[in-house]
Amino acid sequence: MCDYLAGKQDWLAYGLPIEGELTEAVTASQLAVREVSVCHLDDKLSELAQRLLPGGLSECVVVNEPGIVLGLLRKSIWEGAANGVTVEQAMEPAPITFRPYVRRDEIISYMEKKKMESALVTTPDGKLLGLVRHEAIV
Amino acid sequence: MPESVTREEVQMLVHNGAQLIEVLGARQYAEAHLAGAINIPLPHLDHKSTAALTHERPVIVYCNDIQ
Repeated sequence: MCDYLAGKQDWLAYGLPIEGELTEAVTASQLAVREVSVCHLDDKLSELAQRLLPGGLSECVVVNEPGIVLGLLRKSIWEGAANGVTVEQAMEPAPITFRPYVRRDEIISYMEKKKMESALVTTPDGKLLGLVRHEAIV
Repeated sequence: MPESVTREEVQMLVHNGAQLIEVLGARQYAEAHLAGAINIPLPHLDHKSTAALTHERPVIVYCNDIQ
């Protein structure tokens, strides 16, 4: 006999095949926008702004090389950033994240309680999967 | 003592015919369970409740998370 210690939460978090009522629910995995702008700790905000502003983006996710989320940058931060300021100096560290199996109603409720416009969806080890926007899922 | 297995090992074992048992309660099982798993709540996990399992194939038990 074997014991899958990490259990069902681990399985769900990686979007692996399941059966049951949750298969009928709309979850973060389905709601997440997969194309998200990313940047790295040593990127300069002024250079980042040139890359991001034409696209009208409102956030950029800070990741390391394996794609683990380290922080979040919002448009208000990179707009008008002074020369030389790096992402690491300006980012919002450790942003709130949802696991891919979280239901739509739970996400909306949490985002409204915390007055969040957007939130990230990640695996349990922090790998970026996408982003959910409140206005897009209500 | 059961051998601990990772998510990747579970996938491989199931692919090769392993049997999955969720030991949580019926409500939690109904909400979501690993594809192909059967439900035997932990208090009922004994020789009688597992009699229908094929003993030639590996058996993997799991609950909600590490606890």
